Amino acid sequence: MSSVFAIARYTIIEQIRNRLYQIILFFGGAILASSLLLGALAPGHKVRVIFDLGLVMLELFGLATAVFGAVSLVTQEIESKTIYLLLTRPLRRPAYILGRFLGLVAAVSITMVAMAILHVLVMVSDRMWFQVFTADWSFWTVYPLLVFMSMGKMLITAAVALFFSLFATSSVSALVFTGFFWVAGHFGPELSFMINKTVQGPLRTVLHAAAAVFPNFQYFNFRDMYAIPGFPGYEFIGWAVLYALAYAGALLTVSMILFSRKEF
Amino acid sequence: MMNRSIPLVRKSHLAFLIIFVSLVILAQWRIESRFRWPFPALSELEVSENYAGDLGALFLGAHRVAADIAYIQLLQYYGMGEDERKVGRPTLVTPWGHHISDDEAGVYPRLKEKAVRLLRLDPYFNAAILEAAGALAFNQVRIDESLELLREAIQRDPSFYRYHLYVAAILYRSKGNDAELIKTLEEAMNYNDCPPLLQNILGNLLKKTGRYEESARVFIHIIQTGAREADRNTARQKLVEILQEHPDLQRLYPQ
Repeated sequence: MSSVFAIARYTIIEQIRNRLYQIILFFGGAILASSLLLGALAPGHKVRVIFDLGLVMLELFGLATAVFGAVSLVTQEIESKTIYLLLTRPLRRPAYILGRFLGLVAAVSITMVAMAILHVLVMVSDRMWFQVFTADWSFWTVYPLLVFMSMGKMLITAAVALFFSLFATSSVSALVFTGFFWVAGHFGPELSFMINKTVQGPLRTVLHAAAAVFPNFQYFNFRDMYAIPGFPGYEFIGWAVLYALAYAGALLTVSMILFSRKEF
Repeated sequence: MMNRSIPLVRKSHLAFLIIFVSLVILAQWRIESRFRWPFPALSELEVSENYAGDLGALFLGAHRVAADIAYIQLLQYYGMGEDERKVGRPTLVTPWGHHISDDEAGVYPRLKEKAVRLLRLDPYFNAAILEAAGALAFNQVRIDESLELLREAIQRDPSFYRYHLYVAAILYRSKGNDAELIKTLEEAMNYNDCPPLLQNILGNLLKKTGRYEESARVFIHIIQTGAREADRNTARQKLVEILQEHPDLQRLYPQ
């Protein structure tokens, strides 16, 4: 287990030193701050716009950190053969995968928490509208929950990005495949809709298979649904967290199986 | 190339995989039994010049952001100079007798379309939908379009009582459509947070149309459930008037 944590620690340090990571963080901050401008275009709903846009940006930059982190750390390590330096040591391959994954998740979490703090500061900068916006609900309880649920998406995304980084033929294909999973993951309800509208046959089977393989990110989309009346409560959150952990666990296990058999 | 000296899949890996996949299936099943996707299907979106942008936002799972952008675009449309859209419309006279000149009202033929786009992106952006409905009804005097918008809004988010309030206000002020107004208000009464103002309008209307018993029941409901003393007193006064005219209804409220 110590080797797992050593690799995780090493991954976090590498990520933080990575110029790409710093650029992502910088741009994330800049875009969050500039959401003030967009908010100004919606008088009366200024804080709502900043709130919504900020939460989406938080996720998108989390996604960018996960994808670019996985690609820059793993794919390039394989392409440049520097992975030999690690694998020739007494290190089990599953430990390498798990360490990389944990490090990646930690780096993504650091990005999201840093951006969330900035996001809150931007929102509370307009105290009057912030109070109007949060008059009917408890912002300080709900907001951390929304960020936490977004991290559920990131957990799965980091596992997907790591999987493709290990087995895609190039960095670009790893980026594209992970992006495709991200988009497809937001189409869970649409897939269910299509399944219901499709008569029995091969297409329905394909749709069922797609619904089973692609993660359903809408389970974690609390930022769009928190204000909806009758929205499921904490039990739902528990199942969603279990779903994220199990999906990431399954994908990591597949990665470990394939990576254990991979020859360099 | 695969290394053939080790088994295809280790038993421990296989066991983990089976456990994780089982947990995914279990969690998905439990979630699906509670999860009702609250947004309209993509096929229901309003197709406009912004359709690609709307889809792009939804690809990222950002319904609220898509609706925020639609709202900003609606404001820009409704707020920008309308000279180019003027088509020589004569001065409008509102159903309640207020004269609005073209300079005041402007002509915004696509206002409802833009409001529907917003509504279908996020049916729970209630305040923005009310703004659009209000602009259509009270500024543009396009009562029918406003009511169509509100009807769809009610269908998509029936728990938001203020839609009913707006419908009631529009119909009440435009007069002559009492049957529709009563139907809408009776539906609004089904929600716990239906405001006494709406209940009061319903009671008055029922009384006006000769449905005294139903009217009395509405006022009794306000007396029993109204949070404010002023609302309860008004309802009590109305009830007394009904009971004086129709003593046989005393049985409804023996006190």
